[in-house]
Amino acid sequence: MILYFLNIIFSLTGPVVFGLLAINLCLSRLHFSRLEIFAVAYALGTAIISGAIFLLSLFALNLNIVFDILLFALATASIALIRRRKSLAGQIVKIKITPPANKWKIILIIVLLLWVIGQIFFIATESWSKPIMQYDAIATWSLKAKIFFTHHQVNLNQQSPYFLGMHLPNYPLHLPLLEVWQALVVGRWQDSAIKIVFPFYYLCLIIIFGFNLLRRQSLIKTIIFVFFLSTLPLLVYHASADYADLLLAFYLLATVIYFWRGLTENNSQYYYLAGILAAVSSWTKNEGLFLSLIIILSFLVYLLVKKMFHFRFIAPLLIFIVLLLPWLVFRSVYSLGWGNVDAGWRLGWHPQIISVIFSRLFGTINWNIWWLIFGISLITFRRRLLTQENLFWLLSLLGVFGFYLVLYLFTPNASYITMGIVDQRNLLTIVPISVFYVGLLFSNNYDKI
Amino acid sequence: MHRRIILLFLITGSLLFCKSALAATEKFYCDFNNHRVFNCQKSVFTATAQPLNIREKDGSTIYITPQAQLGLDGNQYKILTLRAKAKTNSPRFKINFSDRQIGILSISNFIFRNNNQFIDYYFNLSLSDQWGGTIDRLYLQFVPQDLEIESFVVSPATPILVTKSLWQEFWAQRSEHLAGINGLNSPLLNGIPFIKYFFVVILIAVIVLAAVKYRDRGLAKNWSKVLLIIFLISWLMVAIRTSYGNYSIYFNNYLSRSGQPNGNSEKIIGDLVGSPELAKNLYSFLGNIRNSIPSGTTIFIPPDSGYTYILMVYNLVDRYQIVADINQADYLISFDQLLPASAQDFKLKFSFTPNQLIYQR
Repeated sequence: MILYFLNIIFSLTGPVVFGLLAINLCLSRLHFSRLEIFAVAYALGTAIISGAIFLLSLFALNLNIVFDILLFALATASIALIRRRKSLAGQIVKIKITPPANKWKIILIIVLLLWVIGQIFFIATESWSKPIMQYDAIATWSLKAKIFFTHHQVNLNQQSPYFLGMHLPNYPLHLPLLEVWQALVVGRWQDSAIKIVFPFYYLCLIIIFGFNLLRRQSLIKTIIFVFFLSTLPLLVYHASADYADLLLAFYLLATVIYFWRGLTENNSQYYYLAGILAAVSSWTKNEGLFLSLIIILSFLVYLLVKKMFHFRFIAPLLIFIVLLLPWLVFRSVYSLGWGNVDAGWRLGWHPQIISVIFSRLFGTINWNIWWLIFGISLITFRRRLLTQENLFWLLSLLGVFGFYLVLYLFTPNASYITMGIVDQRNLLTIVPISVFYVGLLFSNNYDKI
Repeated sequence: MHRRIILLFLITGSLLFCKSALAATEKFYCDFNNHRVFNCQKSVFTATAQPLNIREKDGSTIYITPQAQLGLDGNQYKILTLRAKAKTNSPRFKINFSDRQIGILSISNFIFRNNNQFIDYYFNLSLSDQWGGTIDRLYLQFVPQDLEIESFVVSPATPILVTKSLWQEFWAQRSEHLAGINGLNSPLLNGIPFIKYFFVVILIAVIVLAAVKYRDRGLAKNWSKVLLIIFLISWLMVAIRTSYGNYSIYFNNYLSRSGQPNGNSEKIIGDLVGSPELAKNLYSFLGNIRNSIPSGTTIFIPPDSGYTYILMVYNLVDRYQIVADINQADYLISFDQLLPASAQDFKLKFSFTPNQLIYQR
C-alpha cells in the first residue's frame, strides 16, 4: 500500500519536474509565486509527457520501452533541475499580501478558505473512491487509455478495431496518454490512480486563478472570487468525472492569464508561455483549437486597437502552430476529420437556441447564480469594461461566446443545443475566464480612476 | 342454436389467435433506398415504389412513413433494427411516433467504427416509457451529414431477441446520470427550479438598492462592496445546499467504505443506477466470464443501447479481443442484451441467472 501511494506521488511529481525544467530552460525571465510555479509546471509537464508518448508511439514503440525512455529523461531532468535550483529559486517571487485589519473580514476569509479546502477534499475523495462510470468518460477517454495500456502500444493500424483506442479516434490524446502515464507508473490499471489527475487539475486551476487575481485584488476579494470559482456546481462535478472539459477550462484560463500578465508586466516570455498553453488546450480537446485561436486573435486585435502591435507579437501564434503541427499532420495523414462538430456547415438560421441557452443559464443549478452576477457586474462596471487590459479579457470572452453563437445559430449544430448535450460543457470551458474578468472589474484600482 | 353460437365463438377465437400469432411474426418494414420507400406497410409488402415523405427541421432531415394509419401495436413491436452507415463518430437521431417522442438515440454507443459500411443497430424501444399503444405514424429525424440510413425495421420481440425488464430501471436512472456531465438538475420548488427564486430576489434587491444609490452618497461610494456582499450572501445560500449534498454523500457513503478505495465499483454503480442487485449481477457476470472464457480469445458483445455494453467492454478489454463482427468471434456473451439473429450459429455454453449467457461457436 505504501508503495502504491509512493507511485501515485511519483506519477504526479514526475510531470512537475519536466515542467519546472522547461520553465527554467525556456522561460527563465518569468516570475511566479511558489504554488503557482508548481501548478504551471504540472500543466506543462503533463503535456510534455503525453506529447512524448505520442511522438515515440509514431515509431511503433512498445509502451514499456516508451516508459523506460521517459524514466531516463525524468532522471536526467531531475539532475539538471538540482543543478539549476538556484536559478529556479530566482524565478519564485513572494506576493505581498496585506491581511485586513477588521476581525470580521479575517473570520470571513478563514470560513471561505475552509470551504474551498473542503471542496478540494471532497473532490479528491470523489475521484479516489468512485470508479470511472460515466458513459462518455469511459467511451471517449478512459477506454482509449486502457486499450493503449493493456495492449502496450498506441494502435495506429486503421484496419484494427482498436485504432487510436476504438471510439472517436479523432479526439486529441492528451488525456488518454496522461492516463496511460498514470497506469504505467502505478504498474496496473486502477481507476482511482487514473482519476487522481482531475482533483490535481482542479487544484492547479484554483492556484493560478487565485495567485494571479491577487496581483490586482485585495486578499478578501480574491478569496471571495476563488470561492465563487471553486464552488461552481458543474465545475465541481467535472473535477471528479474523468472528462476533459475541466482540463480545457484550465488551459484556456491559463492562456488568457499569461497573455494578460505579458501585457501588464511587458515581458514577452509570458506570451510564449501563453502560446504553449494554447497549443496544449488544442491537444486536449478539438474545440480547444478554435477557442485558443480566438484567444490569440483577441490578443492581436487588442494590440492593434491599442496601437501596440509589433511583429514580435506573432511569436505566440508561431509557437502555437509549431507545437501543434505534428498532431495536425498526423490527423491529416490519417484523415481523422473533426468528429462531433461535423453536423455539417450548411448555413441556416436557428434562433430557437437562444431561448434554450437562456433557460439553461438561469434555470439550472450548474452555475449557482454566476450568470446573474456576471450580467449585473457588466452593467454596473460598464465604464471599466474597456479600460486597461480589460479590453483584452472582454475581446477573448466575446470572441469565444461569438464563436459558439455563430456555430449554433447558423449551422445544423444547433440540434446539439436543443438536445442539451453541449451548451453547458461549452460554457464550462470559459466560465473561469469570466469569473477572473469580473474579479478584475471589482478591483480597487478602478476606484481611483 | 347453441351449437352455432359455440361455433361462432370458436371461429372468432381461432381467428383472433391466428391474427395475434401472425402479428408476432410479421415485421413493419420501411426501406429507404435512394430516398424511395419500397416496403412500408405492416404485413402487406408491396413492390410499388412510393415517394418518401421528407421534411426538414432545424437543419436535420425527417423521414416519415407515408401511411398515416399504420395501426402498429406498440406493445408487441418493440425492437428497432436500424441499418445505417455512420458518417461521423457520434451521430444521433430521434424517433418520434404519432405525437410522442421516444427521445434521442445515439449510435455512438456502438463504439466500433463502421469502416464505411452499413451495420445493423438494435434498439429496444420498450425501454422508453413513451413507447406503447397504437402507433399511427413513425418519424425518424437525423442530420444527413451524420448518418446514412438504408432501412429501419420495427419487429416484435422474438425469443432470439432477448428483452427483459431488468435494465429498465437502469435506463430510467441513466438519464439523470447522463445529465451529470452535460448539466445538473436543479431541485424544484413548486414546480420551478429553486435557483430561479434566487434570481428574482437578487434582481429585485439590486434594482431597489440601485435606485436608493442615487439619493444616498454613502451607498453610491461603497456600491461595489454592497454588490459583492449581496452576491456573496446569495451565493452562500445556494452553495450551502449543494455543498451539504456533497458532504452528506461523503459521510453517508464513502466513510463506510474506507480502506477499500478501488473495490467498491459494484456498490457505487449500484448506487448510481439505484439498483444494487443489478450492479451485483453485472459484476458477478464479469467475474464469471473471466472464469469461464480463456484469456486472449475473441468475444462478441451484442451492441445494445449503451451503458451495459461500454461497461462490459471497459472491464473485459484487458483480457479479451473484443470484435465488431460476430462472425470473427469465438464467444458471444449477453448480459440481458438483444442478440442478433446470427447468434443462432452459437451454442449456449454457460447460463447464469438472471439471463446472463455465454455462447460458444
